[in-house]
Amino acid sequence: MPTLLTLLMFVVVMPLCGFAILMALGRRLGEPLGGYVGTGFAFASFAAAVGAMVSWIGSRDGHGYGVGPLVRSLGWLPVGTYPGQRVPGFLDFTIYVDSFTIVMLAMVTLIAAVVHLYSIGYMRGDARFSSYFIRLSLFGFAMTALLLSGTLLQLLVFWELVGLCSYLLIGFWHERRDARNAATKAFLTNRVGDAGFIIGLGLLVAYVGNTTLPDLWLMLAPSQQTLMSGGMLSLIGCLLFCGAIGKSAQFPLHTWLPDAMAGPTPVSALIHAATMVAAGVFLLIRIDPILTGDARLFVVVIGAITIAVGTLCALAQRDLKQALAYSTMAQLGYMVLGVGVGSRDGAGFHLLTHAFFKALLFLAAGVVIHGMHHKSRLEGYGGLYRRMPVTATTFAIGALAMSAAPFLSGYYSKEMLLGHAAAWVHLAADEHRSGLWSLALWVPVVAAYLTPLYLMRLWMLTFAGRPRDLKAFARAGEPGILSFPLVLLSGLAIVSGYHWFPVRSMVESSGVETRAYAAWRTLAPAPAIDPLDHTWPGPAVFSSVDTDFDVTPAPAHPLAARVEAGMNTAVRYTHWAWLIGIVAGTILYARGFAFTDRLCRYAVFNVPRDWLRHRMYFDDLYRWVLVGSARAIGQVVDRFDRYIVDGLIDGAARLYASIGRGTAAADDLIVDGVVRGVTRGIWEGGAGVGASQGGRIRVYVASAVLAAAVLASVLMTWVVLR
Amino acid sequence: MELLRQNILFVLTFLPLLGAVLVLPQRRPAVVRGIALGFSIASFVIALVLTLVYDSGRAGTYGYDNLGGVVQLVRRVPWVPSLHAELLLGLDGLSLPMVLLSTFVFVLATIASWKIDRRPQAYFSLLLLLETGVLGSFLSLDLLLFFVFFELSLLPMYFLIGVWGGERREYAAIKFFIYTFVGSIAILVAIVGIYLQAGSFDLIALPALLADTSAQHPRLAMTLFGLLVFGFLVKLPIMPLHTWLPDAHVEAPTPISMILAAVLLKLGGYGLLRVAWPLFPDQALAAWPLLATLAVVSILAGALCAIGQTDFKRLVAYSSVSHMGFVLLGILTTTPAGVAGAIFMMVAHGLTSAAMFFVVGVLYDRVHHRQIARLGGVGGVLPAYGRFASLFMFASLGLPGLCNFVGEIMVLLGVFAAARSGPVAAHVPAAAVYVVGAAAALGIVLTAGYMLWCLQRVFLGPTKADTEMLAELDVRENLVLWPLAVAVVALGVLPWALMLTLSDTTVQALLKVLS
Repeated sequence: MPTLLTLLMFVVVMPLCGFAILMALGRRLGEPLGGYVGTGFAFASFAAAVGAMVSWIGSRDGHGYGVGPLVRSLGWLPVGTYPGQRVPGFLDFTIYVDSFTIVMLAMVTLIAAVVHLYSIGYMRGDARFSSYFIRLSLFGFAMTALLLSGTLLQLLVFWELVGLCSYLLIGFWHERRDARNAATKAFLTNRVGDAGFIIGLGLLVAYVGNTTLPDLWLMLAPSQQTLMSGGMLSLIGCLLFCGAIGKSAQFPLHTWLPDAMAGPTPVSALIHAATMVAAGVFLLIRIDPILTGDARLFVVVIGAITIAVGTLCALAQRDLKQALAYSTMAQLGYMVLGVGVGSRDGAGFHLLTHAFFKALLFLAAGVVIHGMHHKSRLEGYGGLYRRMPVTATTFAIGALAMSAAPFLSGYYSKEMLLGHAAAWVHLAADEHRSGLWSLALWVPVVAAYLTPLYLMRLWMLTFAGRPRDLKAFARAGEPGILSFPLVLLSGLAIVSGYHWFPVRSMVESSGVETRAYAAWRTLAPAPAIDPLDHTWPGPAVFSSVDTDFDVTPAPAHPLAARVEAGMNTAVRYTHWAWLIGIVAGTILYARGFAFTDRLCRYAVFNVPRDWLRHRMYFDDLYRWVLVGSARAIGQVVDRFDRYIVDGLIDGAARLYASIGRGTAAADDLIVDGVVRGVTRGIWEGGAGVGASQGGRIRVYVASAVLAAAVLASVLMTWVVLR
Repeated sequence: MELLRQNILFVLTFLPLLGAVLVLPQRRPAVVRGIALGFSIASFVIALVLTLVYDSGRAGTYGYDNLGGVVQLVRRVPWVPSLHAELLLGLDGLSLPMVLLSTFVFVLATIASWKIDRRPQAYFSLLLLLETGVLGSFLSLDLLLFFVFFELSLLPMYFLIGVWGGERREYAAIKFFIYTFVGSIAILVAIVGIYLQAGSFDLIALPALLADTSAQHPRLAMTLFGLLVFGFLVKLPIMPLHTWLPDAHVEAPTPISMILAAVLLKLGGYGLLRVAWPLFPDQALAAWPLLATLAVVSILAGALCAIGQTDFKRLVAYSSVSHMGFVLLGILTTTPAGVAGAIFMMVAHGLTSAAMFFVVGVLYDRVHHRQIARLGGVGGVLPAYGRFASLFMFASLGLPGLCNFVGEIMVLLGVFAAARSGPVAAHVPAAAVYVVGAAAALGIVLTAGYMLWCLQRVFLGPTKADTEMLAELDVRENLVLWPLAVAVVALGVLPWALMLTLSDTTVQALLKVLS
């Protein structure tokens, strides 16, 4: 284990070193040296992650990888929750490592390294070249640290830090209005989700006094826990999920993701497609054992709506990156729905395969955008296959993988996920739930037909047909430094679903390890508490097409038959979806926009297209209702504060002052008048007594009066104080 | 050496006063500034020495160290024997962070004052006098002495705003003075009442002496508690007692704004924790719903007000109101996390608010106005300054890894913890506490809103007419910004090792008194 810990430390620290060095020397290193330094550290981090993976797999002992997860704690804020009582673990730093962590680390560092390399070419000539790599390195650190987090609080810390990096990179070209607006919008929208997450965290602290992950699973597994009511646990689950709604761009907090495409495209590939937005799903998988049935239903509903919104909007976008952003959103919806229906393995699996093919799609889109001088509108594309054959091919591979074409990675992960969703729907039917529950299967199934359609639309409009912008077309090309990452990632988009490739097996053994950990903590041979009692086992045999899955995990699992039935249902409905979608897309867009534009002369097509192009008007709704009202309320509160609250104070002061003035006038007239009168009397009397003694008398008299006054006041004071 | 050790708190308290006297007869401004800086640095060094001398590892009761308590370095000198009032100074985990913060900020404020050329003798003398007042308030454990120092800090501030301030300085200064003076009078009346009941001014002994009063004369105790809380809430400030703050900040010169936000507001929070809560814990619980509401209103309405501001400095001033709501909320939780979080929040806010006011001042020195609408693109023109400003703004909106986050999250989690454990749980229904915690958590959205919107309008985007040609940061400005930046990051990364470990034993001891 010490080598493993050292390697994991290197995974996290390497990008941090890159960040520190670039921070100190960035401007001196300049371009392209600064980029190479950042890339070097990113690759070092990847190398360490691969080392950790090798070390982890090497320690297997027959039941999956390792005997259990690795948990290490370090005091960060060792503050107790109760007076005089210290609850260890509250606000501590803990790392929790299982197979899923290891494979996620490898994926994140790989894509980060590739994106670093790609960025050297993509950001060539940018005025703030090294500043870009500073931000990218910081992201590498925050993201890897997030994956290692063993407590939810620690997860929140790095969660916000990746959010910061996202903000800084979306707004990298802050001279552009859309970029800076998008950055602020992304951060604020995420904050809304985070507020919910923090409230959930607070409730956990109130009940458990602790946010350490494995402890939570054991204490709060819904079947076992007695600490709180089921309703409260459901509420906590939903609130924690709010964090994921923000980060993973789920409905209704999804509007920031398409806007985030204002950032440089490699950033969109790394942060807004492959890694950071998947952190929400990662969080869901981590809290999966404590989600109750009601919380799961909420997760499923949100996931299904997100799939629908994302898929439909992706159909009509005019901007290449925004269409891809909506497709990301839809795929994240798949994963969220997956966790909801109990397909922890399917969601994790799809997260990883999606990361590869979506990063590929974005980087390919980046080559196009770079080649077309930062124009990302589909209207200006067309015919680019001839100028960018590698890009067109790799984009097609990514699109096929995402369409779940057989033998490509997306097929395996999506079928597993859909199979589990079908099994969940079957179970619901057996329990006589409402027919609405079957939407958890039908929404993703319909989306599975539309996904290849919109991907094909993008491919056709970009690479096929005749070039629509001849001037830009003539200058377009694909430099080698940009193509190499595409080839690498398309390899991964093909193989990452196969069983011999350590993705699916790593995800599945994470569940084995969780159970092993529960058994070890509860000192029972078979786990007395099964934190994963609601999750479906992986399907044994995939489908007739595939013979790769001959390994049977858990042979006698009680739910295996249901999973089998579910897989059959899913395969029956979606097996040819990829082909149907692609054919439909080819036919519709064979002549560019010509056919669809003709269709849209009819309102029946045009109205929905407009609706989708305006992103279903969610952005406008939020801008008018939420942002507008916050500003308006801010101004109203400010006015209230200024004129009412402060006005009262000022009014009181003015009143006081006028009373004072009145008193002063009275004082002047009455009290002082008497004194003056007396003085004048003495004065004039004195004057009458004798001019010979002149002024001296007056001084005497005045002194006597003064002395009497002082004496009197001292006496008064003494009397009062006594 | 032993003599020095015994009297080190007196030395610390009165050293700035000595500086204030020495500054007055000087003729050359350079000498004046040198002396002022020397004395403020010397105070900071003594505060650092205190950190080493103070044994924060020794757990104990909320009492003097010769009786097994956490209050150390106690020194008593008879003062007004007939009233049993003493010059009583002592140090514990509550005052030490405040002393460190104050001396640190005073050094930076002195550097920030370098360009004051209007009667520098008077200015620096008042500044040092203010430091004595502040340090005396944090260190004195005699209620009467505390009040004297508390008042002593008021007067220099009045002159510093009223003479060296902006256009409406006289209005702001008189408003500040009268407002806080009304608060002080409430505190004074409470102090007289406390003395009549307990016959002592000893803040550490008073909790035990007042236990009977609280039980036998609940109405009297409640009145006294109310008066104390009123006085300290004005100082903190909490809505709706806050309106002196934006005016005072806008009119005060930059260094004075730094001190006002970073140090003087903390007198309010410190007073609540040192005086109001330990003396009247039951009354504090009884007033919980009202005070928690005020805290939440401050957090939310302060942030909303900040969204509505058009003046950069006023925006920062309202952010203080919002952040101080977290301090009050943390104190209200009466849980270790919440109270330690409140203390941490005071320190964290001290650093970030001082930094933010300095950031505003740097910009004002260059463009001579603070209208957000007329600013823009400053980050592109002054990249180094833009980085500092973004760092402090992100710290202020509670980004993890920077200091404010630790305070906010401890307070928030402390609120939720209070719903089910500790004295609050016994008095207030859990659901109400959850609502308070949830409402406060929504504050982080609004905070991010006004900070990022401001960041976007002032620092990002294309430049405007006013911001095209700006001078780079000079050495003096770097000397203020760098230490603040280092402190903001260091406290955010190592909150326990650098700060919370100092206050931990005291918080534990204090909570035993409160529950």
